[in-house]
Amino acid sequence: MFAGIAHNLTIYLAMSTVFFVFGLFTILTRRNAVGVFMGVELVLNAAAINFVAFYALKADSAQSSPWLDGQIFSLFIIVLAAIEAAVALAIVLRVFGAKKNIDPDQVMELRG
Amino acid sequence: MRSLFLVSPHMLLCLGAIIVLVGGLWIRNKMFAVVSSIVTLLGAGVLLATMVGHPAQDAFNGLIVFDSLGLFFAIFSVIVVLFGVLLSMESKEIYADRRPEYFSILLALCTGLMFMGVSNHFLMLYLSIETVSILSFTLAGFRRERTASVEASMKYVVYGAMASALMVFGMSLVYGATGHMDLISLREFFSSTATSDLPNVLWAGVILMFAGIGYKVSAAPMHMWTPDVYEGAPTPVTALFSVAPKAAGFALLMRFFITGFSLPVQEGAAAVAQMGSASAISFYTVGPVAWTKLLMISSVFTMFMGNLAALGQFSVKRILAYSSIAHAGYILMGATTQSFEGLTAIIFYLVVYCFMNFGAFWVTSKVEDCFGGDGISEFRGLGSRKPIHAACMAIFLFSLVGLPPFAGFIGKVYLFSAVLAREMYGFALIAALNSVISLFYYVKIIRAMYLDEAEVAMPEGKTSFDSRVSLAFIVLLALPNLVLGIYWEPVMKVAKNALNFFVGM
Repeated sequence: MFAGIAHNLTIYLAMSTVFFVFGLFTILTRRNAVGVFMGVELVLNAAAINFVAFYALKADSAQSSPWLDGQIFSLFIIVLAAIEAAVALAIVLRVFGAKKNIDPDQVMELRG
Repeated sequence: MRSLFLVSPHMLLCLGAIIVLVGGLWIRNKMFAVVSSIVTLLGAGVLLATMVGHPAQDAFNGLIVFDSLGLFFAIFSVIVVLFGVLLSMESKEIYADRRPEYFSILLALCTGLMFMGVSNHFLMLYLSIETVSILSFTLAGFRRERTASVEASMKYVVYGAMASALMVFGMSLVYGATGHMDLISLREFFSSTATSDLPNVLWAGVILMFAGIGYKVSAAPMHMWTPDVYEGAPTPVTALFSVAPKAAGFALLMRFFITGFSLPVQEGAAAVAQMGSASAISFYTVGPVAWTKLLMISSVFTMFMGNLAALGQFSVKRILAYSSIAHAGYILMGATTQSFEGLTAIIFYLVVYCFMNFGAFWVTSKVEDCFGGDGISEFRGLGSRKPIHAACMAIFLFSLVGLPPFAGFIGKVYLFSAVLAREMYGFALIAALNSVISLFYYVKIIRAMYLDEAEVAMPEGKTSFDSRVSLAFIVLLALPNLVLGIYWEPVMKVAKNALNFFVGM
């Protein structure tokens, strides 16, 4: 079913690496909490691509068809990313209501 | 069916969470949520207690493993959450009309904590850590009218989302390099494959995964959220955060590194027969990743970051937050020893740490409820105003320093001796130096309580200090700190039993 994925694995990995690097860059440089969460989503999607690609590689090389572990993991990543985004956005909304600002560095009362 | 039977305590807790939440819509009695959560937790505790002594079994195709370690930490989580429920019931920070939501989140949190201790597969690792994290975000911001609380919750969610994303990416790299997600098959794979055949990307994978786990136990460099969240969150929540997720995180860390990346030097049974006791078992690293080095570097940084930053603080909650970072450093030390002795020391220390830290936060919660602040200035003169509270606080703090004859001392002795037994003298010296540094900031609180004049006026009428239930629990938490400093054998035995499965490994 996945014949030849091993041959193309590099393409998938290159794509996930680009996603990961962009995501990490976004997390570290964004001055806006919503922007930071966008970076987090990119990193999560990079991981999901990796899981699917590596699963296909494993299924390619195995004699018997293995447990669908990689595929299922990527589904769980999507579900948990949605849950996390829901909670995070609720909290960001609350911070905006209280401070009129959602820059994690500017919202500063606690420091030391 | 067998798997479902094994997770019956978890299911009971989920059911309890739903009942508390939905029942709270109709039942206006403010004790309803408290009583039903306590009943649910006790029920889960009883169900777990019936499982004690059974041989290890796996459930759901090896996703989770019910062995002595998982069971120990499940019971530990239930007890700590029970303390949390009692402290929250007594605190003014959790308003009576919002109790149903709050207690239902606590029960769900307990489910997540119990799964953290038993997860044996990357998927369960991720799901259990996320369950605990996402519920913790909401708990940290529970006092939503207070901006500090909301801010704490935002900082928590930013760090938490980042840490878990990095962890998942690390998992995908380890999966790609090995083709396994099950910790036991991971170990088998490592022991049957030549190290030189494995790609270096495993290093990146393990480091990224450690970022996620280290975030839960607040180990450097993922510790930055701790002081802000602990200070901003309601005090009962902080007390819970400082013990429960940390202990579950260490359970997960031990299982991850010892089950996934180590093998016993000798087969357990053979080592026991030869040396005469289980404590002779030690492990060696399999696979290309020298994870003990990683943990060692993190441990040293964690200790210094925690202790040095605590020196300049004036908020007691913040001091305790930095102290909990430093303690994570001490406990990590036990994992780097790769010996049965070191792992037992971790479990013993976590038990002791639960009593001393929870107690210190309980007193802080009372002070905050009474004076409306948790600074050193609110503690001034507490010794003459509320002698029992102050004396108990002093016991907790001395125990946290690790002075004899308190329980913290025995915990540190076990950790240090495990490190010395592996001939890591420099490491032990650094830890000892850190204990000395920590003396300064703990003594600062004790001095404020006993030597300084009271600064903040006592409110008129009934104060939070008058609660008999609280006083009883503070004393009840202080007692183990004294008793375990003199007679600690039973707890040590429990700790050894919790690691029993390594003997048969």
